[in-house]
Amino acid sequence: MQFFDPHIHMTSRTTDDYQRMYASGIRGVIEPAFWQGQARTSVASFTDYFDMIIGWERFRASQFGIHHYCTIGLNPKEANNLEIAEGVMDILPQYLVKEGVVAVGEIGYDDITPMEDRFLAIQMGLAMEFGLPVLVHTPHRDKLGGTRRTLSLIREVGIDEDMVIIDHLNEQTLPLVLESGCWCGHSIYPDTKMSEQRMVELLKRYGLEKMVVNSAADWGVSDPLKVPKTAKAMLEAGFQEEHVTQVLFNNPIDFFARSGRINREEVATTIQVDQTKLWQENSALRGQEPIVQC
Amino acid sequence: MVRSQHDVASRIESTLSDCGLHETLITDFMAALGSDAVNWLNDTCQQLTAADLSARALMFLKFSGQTKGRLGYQLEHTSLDNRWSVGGLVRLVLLQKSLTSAAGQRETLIREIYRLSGNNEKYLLARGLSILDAEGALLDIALDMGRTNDENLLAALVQNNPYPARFYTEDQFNRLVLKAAFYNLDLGLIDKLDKRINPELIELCNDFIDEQDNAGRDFTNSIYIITGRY
Repeated sequence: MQFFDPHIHMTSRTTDDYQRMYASGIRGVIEPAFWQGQARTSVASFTDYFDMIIGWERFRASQFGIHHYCTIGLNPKEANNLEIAEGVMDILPQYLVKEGVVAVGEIGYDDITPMEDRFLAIQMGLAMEFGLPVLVHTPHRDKLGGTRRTLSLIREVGIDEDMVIIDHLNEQTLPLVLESGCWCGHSIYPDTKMSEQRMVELLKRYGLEKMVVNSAADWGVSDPLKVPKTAKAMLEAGFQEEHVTQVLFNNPIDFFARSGRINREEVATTIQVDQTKLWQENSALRGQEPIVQC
Repeated sequence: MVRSQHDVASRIESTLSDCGLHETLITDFMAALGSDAVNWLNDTCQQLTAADLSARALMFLKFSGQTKGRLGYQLEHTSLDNRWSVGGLVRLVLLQKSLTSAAGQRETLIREIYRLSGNNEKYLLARGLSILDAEGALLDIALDMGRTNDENLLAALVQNNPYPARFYTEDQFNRLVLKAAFYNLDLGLIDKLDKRINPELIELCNDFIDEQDNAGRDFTNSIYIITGRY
């Protein structure tokens, strides 16, 4: 079976992860722009980071047979630094037109402050202007309140709810999003957020439509194989392979296909790996014999 | 010689007294320090006089960074009360001396130190907020500190610290308390929590408990101080 992980921070992962992901059936990923574990101190840091996830990281993924796309945005935590946030707003348009960028994100709330309100609304407006979907992060704390406020702001801004995926949902917040036209993202984590078993229960209870699952793996304790592991849990719970494919391949790609920059056929197409290629004279290999499939 | 040592100690005691610290705490601190450390601290304080604010901030950070080496790990981390360790008070003396004669530029210097600071200096600024700022002018720094993922910094800001209760709006206070709960900190140590409990905070905490229950995770029992639910 083929899988797609629509939320994983591959810049924080190793080439071993890429190899294990490919071996587990993952054929494509989306890398949302996010926080780096500590606050950035200048807009230039965002520029280099955005350049890296549309450039080097996309190349690195391709070297291991995985299609790589990204979303670009100002993460909620750093929306509270006014000077930097305004600077990032100025540079966003030049990235939102790039081919590998399939959405604005991840944006949303962290501490649910007026500044976060402001830059969330601005970025939703940019998504509308550039015809892109939106990936919304829901906060770790006051998730219920943050989700309610997100839905309220979506209606206030007037963005088509079908163009929005609200992520990191759980038993408390999913019912709220299901009442809207938004898509429903769930992050499967080793200890926090959602487990495979809890996810399966949600799928049994609420069905498969607009349901999306990701690993949200990053530099913290997380697991880049949570999407295939959820597939295993679904099959063990009695779901058919076509159901697994719908939730873990078709749904996420169909949502981000609203950007016009990704589709199922492309992701299903095998990348002819050529590890002799370089990116800005750099290779992901360290003396190994290059694999050349073409 | 004895007289000189007494004068040196008096200057340090006076600096801490200016910070409004309790006499017993100062006495315990001086007793713990020992004469070598007292002399080093006094000599160091004499050097914190650079006219240029950035230079003075760097000088403070340089000496603050030497605290560990001068005191040794054990003495540095020796607790004197529920807020201050010996190392923390050494850094407070250095900070207070750095701010002396900064006059109208005192707030600017604090901001520069915060901008350049390492973890120990951030903990110091968090604990010392109510000493440094009687008007709430540094509220933005406190809010920025609250966005940390460093549990020690969060604890310094939220526990046994009068600043949040004094200057935070209801929403800001609620978010800080919720974050402290998220980090499993003892909410019973939040200053004037009983005076700041409000219906919104109770709802936030009840939602938090439900979320943790759904995920099968433990959380601090001290949250029941707020929800009243056992």
